[in-house]
Amino acid sequence: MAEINKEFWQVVLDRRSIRKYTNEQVSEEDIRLIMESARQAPSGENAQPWRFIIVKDQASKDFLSVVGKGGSGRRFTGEYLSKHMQTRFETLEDEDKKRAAFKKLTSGSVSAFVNQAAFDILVLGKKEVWDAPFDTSAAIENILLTAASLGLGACWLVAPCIDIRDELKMKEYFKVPEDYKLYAIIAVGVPGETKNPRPRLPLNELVFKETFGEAYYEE
Amino acid sequence: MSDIGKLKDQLLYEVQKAFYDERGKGARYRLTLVGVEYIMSELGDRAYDKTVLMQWMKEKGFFEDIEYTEDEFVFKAKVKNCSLMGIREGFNSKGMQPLSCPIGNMIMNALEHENGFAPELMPIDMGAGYCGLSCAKAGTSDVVGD
Repeated sequence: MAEINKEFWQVVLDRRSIRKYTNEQVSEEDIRLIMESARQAPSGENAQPWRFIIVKDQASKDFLSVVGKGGSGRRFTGEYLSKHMQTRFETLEDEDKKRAAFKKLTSGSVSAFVNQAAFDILVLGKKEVWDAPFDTSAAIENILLTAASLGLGACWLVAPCIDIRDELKMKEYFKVPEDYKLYAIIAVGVPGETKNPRPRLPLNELVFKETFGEAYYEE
Repeated sequence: MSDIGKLKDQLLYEVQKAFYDERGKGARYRLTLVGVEYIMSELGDRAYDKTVLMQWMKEKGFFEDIEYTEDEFVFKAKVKNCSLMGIREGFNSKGMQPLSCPIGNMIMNALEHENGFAPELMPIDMGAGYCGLSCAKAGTSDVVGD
């Protein structure tokens, strides 16, 4: 740890998925830095298959919100009705908290907030490229870390476009050509909330020695 | 079933399984329109009427019979002896849910046209000789109740 760039490491540690924003705007200088960091991401064969649409228009952000709310709400309502959600939360003993979580998830609000962000970035990838999903993910992580380093909040969403039915609606609205896929939406803005880190699995459950299964780290 | 029929079922299963192996659980969301282009080309706007749609599919032998119920939140159908059962069994043999249900997709297409909301196909009840389909017709916290 002694050799690591501490400022970089702090950004990695401090990044959160921010879903509440103030009404403040983000400067064009900051937006450019964020998009430049995406441009600097690695890509297979340097294909740079990513394209980005910056969405500031409120009506368009509201459209994203409606589609995102529908996508998340649909998925979680199905999970609730099929009882899988109840199984997933069975270790949570506080019934009020459990019910609140069910309400929140089934409402789709976990994705509806995108219209509150200063702007949203639609991340597209060219289909006729070998590694577009991985290339665009690298660009997305650069975006998230750069936003955090600028003191901005951001959140990576897939729910509004994971279902082909939603993706097609989005592509039509934003005039995305057929040969591009919509991979994700990233909401960006001035944070209106402070969030604690989410729990992370310990390294000894994640990293194995030589073959799968034997922990690389003791703890 | 003819050898060609078996081959087609096996290929459809293998293609979907390969997609699952690449995309994981999210793959099923990429297949929610499988079958819809076909039914729209065959029935046009009549495919939006679920009663007409299900009767047409039964007459064409896509399945032997179908029974359905629905309420505010859920559409349920019991599809008996579906012609796509072989593909289901491929996934079943791996202890998995089918990645997609084209019959369910066609019905969801009609439900979306009816309700203005694209439904969610819930896990399929895979019984002997039948599939129990359930679709969430809405994305709403009202299902949780007060």
